[in-house]
Amino acid sequence: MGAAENESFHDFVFREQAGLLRLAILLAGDRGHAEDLVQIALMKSYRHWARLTRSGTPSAYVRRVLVTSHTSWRRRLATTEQVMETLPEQADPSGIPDGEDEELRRALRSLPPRMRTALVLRFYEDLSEQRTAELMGCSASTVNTQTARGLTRLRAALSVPAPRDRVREEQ
Amino acid sequence: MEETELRNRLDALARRTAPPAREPDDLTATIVARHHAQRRRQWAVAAAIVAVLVLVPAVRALTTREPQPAAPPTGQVDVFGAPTRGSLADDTALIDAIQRLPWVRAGDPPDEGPSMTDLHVVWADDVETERWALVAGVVAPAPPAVPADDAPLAVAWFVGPRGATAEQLAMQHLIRDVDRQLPTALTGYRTGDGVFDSTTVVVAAPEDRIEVSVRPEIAASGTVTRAFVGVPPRDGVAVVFDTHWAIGDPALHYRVLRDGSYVILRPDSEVDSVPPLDRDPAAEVPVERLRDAPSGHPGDMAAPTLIAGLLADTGLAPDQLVATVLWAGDLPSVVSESARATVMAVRLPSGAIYVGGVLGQEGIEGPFGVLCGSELRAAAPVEQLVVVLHCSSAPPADPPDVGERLIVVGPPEAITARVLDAQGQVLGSHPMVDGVAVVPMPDNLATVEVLDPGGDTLDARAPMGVANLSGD
Repeated sequence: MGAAENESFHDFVFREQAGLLRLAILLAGDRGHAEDLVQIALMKSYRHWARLTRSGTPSAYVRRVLVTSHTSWRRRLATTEQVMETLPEQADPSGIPDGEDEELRRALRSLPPRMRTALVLRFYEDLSEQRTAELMGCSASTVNTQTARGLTRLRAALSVPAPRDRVREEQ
Repeated sequence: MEETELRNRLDALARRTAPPAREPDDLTATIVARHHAQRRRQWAVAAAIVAVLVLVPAVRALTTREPQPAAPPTGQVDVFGAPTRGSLADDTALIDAIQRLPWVRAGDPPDEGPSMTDLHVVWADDVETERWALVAGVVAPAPPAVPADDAPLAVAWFVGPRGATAEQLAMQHLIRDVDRQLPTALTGYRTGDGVFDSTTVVVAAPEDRIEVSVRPEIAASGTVTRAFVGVPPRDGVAVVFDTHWAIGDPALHYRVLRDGSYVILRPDSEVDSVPPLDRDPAAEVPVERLRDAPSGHPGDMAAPTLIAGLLADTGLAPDQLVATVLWAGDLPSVVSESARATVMAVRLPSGAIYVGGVLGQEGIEGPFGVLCGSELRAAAPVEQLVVVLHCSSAPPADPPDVGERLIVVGPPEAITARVLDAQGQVLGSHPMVDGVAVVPMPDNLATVEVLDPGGDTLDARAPMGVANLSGD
């Protein structure tokens, strides 16, 4: 990749990293996975950077890669990384969110990944059903169904005090 | 909750809990370095293969030093192109039905899969007691800004019982973006009689030569190598069976030889849906202790996962390992009342020693473990080992926390841990009790020297990283 593309990639990282991390934390639920997701999305996009920048803004492509990497998360780790099998990888004290944040975070994590993704893209990224469908690689009707079911489950989870112990992430 | 409220709460949650952004220079450099490292791993050795005298040094170079810059693949090979391969390829009704299968996991509604175009069954065959199929297609619509002919190709693996109809096949694994020129492979596990049985299917181009290394070889010196053997492929597809005592990332690696170049890869795997064994192989590894055990702690359950990970990574059996807990004790934690640190040495069949430290604690989502570090060491008496670990009860991205500790474990005669920076300046000295010191993590630490009562240095070590057992 040439110097101009490298500079463009650096500028993109400077501009968009914080936004990508915010999207990733909502999708992944913990900081470790969120950082991994952003790195994976940037690395996959870097491969096509010259073409992406020639064709317009790469933001949509990077977000799509981030979303698809999340929904097809395969727990495949780089050679130098290691996971403690059967256990969540890391705690997420994450600045110790307040009670409302923690309640929402727990409710989101209790949703299946695609349902969570649909809610986050529709209500955090403010995307249309069609645009969400494009990012998730499914039909707009599926997004509609997932969003409706997700809202119902989220409302139910937020209206009932959740147990404080042993809430396991749904795979 | 109204939608507006949800929007506001999601925004607040994202702002308050997102990890801090890294320096753009630093992150860009990391991405570029990982990109190049990945390419180097994939197309590692370009060597003339007609002469064995040339090939052997080239392969040795692969295992002993940094791989050479990638040799680009020659020619435009499409691993996933037509026609369908495998013994079922002529069963057109079955192949058509497999092609129409929704890409959803068992139990999910059919309409939840991605919309696909250009679907094509790459390979379908009966493998021992199972029926396998690999299907390729393009997720629709193609991503913006990418030309249609370069849209990411996705593949899905379907598995069912031998002789299954298409409807009896279940999607096991989905990869949304494969390189059309690179082979792909999946290791599927079944829970057997006291062990896990695995089937690995490698789908390469028909002209590729396929070689596999079922597990790494760890010498007494602590070096890790791999020996690859050829597997006779049928139409570019190879199948390998194995048994395991623990599963994770597959210990098996494979490589294909194409146009004089090797490409080395690891199969994908799905372990989450595999039922556990009715025995616990990690618990069968004999564990000795150098020092008295502290009282029980929920975090004690993290130590066996260190052994389970080793069993999975090395493919070794429990009776081939002997573990020794060098030290265990409690550290302060930001997550729970305290965290249990366990420092362990595991002797491998060659005599080499795997040393690792793990922190176990009780979080609000249940007990969890964090690896402090690990290393492979040359054969030596475990009671003489010097181990330096940086353990933290919070993710590394967070500011230093009350649980961040330096753990130094040495032989019983060690009485001082001297902490040095990168310039060799002494940052501090800490007394060791029974050969152990646990102190707050000093800034700028580079090395720790462990001294005996005479002031002689027994050993000097930097805090551990993570052992690379892959043999790549």
